[in-house]
Amino acid sequence: MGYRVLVVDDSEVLRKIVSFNLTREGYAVEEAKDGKEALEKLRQAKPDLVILDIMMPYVDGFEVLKTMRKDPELKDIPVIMLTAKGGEDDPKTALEIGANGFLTKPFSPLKLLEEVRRVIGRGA
Amino acid sequence: MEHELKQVYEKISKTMNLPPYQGMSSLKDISFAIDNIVAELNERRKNYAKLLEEHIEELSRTYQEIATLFELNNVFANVVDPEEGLESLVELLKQTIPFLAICIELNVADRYVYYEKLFKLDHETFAKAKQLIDTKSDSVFLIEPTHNSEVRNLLSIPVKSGKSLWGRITLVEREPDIFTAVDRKILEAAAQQLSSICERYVRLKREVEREKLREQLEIARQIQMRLYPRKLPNLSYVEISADTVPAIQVSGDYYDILVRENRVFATVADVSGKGIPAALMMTALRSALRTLSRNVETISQLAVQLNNVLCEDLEEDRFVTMILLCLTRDGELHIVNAGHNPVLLVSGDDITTVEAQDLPLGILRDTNYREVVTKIGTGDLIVAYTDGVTEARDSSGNEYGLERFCAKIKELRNHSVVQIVEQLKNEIENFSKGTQRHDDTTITVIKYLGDNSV
Repeated sequence: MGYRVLVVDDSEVLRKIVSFNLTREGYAVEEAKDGKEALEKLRQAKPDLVILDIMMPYVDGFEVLKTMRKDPELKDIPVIMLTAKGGEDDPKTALEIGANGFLTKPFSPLKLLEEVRRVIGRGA
Repeated sequence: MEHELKQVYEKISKTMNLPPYQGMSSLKDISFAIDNIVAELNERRKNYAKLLEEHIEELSRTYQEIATLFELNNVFANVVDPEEGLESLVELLKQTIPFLAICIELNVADRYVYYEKLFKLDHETFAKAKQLIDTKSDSVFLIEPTHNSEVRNLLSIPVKSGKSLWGRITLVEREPDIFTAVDRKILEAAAQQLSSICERYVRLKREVEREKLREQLEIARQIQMRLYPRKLPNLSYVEISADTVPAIQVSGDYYDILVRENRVFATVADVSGKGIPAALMMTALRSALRTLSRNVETISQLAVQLNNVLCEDLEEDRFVTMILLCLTRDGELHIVNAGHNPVLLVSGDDITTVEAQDLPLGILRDTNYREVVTKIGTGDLIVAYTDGVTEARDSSGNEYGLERFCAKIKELRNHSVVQIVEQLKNEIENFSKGTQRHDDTTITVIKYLGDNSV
């Protein structure tokens, strides 16, 4: 069975691009449009990997990651953060609070797949 | 009921643009028609899904292209050498453009950089592709499959900035399809980045060379400084002090003090021009003078012989102005002034000048040089200098001039010669503060203390 990935981003276009590339590689993808929905879906579905945007309304990516790392059921799920070009400190902060990898927008979809494979540890 | 169903069908077929079903007479017919509608709807849904997927695929490709354009900046961010970063550049381009081979050629200053990588292309086709490109040209080459060339397709972009053509970057055969407008944009952005690196490299190279030259000039300066007399002779009847300041590190000015058989020989000379050429001549002049001075009786003989040597050695447009002085213990002073600034003789408040009488050295062979002979008294000063002194300018462009120089000498005449030279030097330094020194400056001051041997 393919790995299950939860893609969290408030931009629908970006979610679709990520989903499209992951689905084509055989991953099962779920989407969440903000931090709140992400936390709900995380508890329900327990995916194998989360791709998490930092800048989101209401609950941002850092909040989601912090909450995950405190939750015994979610704390071991690997997370790849998506950071914006301008936020120079974002990658550092992301790794400090427990992200397993990060990509800077705009990222190459090929790099995304490489990073996903690296973090999960093998292919789909 | 049947009638109503017919109406429903008519409504649906109208909104879906289907042909009205003819000859519907029974419920069976209608059910069949509705099955058709459902089949049509499914077909359309599939098509829309496919279309949507194609759109997302296109969007994803565009996103990849944008990411590549952004990444291009990073590849060369800290690169100085054009060869560095080529590997990453090719990797990045390959992520976005499915070409089969790439070739990058750059000529930057003294460097020739060549990089090629074949992904899925045979060497023979690659060689043919390279022959199609004119490396001297600064235009874009595009070969399409329709051109029926031996190479299916090719895109080659020059790497240039302003008038400088650094080289080019060539992609050979795209698989599948043809090179797109976006491919070209991305390749142009890559070429732009490469040209910035080339410019940066050339600038850095120039800077390094300038620095090397500066170092060599500094070494030359140190060597030259050692050629000036480091220790002036200590004699009972004279006090001597001299100093020189080059305009640009090395100088064409020369001064020397020699003692031969109880006579003091002093010289101040100025080789025309400045910097290294003048400094080289100054060293030749010094050797000639020091050698010839051993075998001559008078300074006019010395001037004649020096002139003949210099006439042979100097380029046509170069010459040397020179003062030769010879002072005996009893105060007899001989002066040869070969086209140089006047020698100043300071006695009490009087200053007399000994003007140039003959041509500078190195102009006309076998020129005769005349000596002025005079007697000086105890406490009198002899001042010889180069034109860097009187021609020093202040920030408004005014010349320092002989008048100011003489006034200052009078003011200082009772000081020790070391102090006089030092203070004259400071005076000129202050006068021309804020301007660039435009000539080498030399001052020699001799004070006659009287014949105290008896």
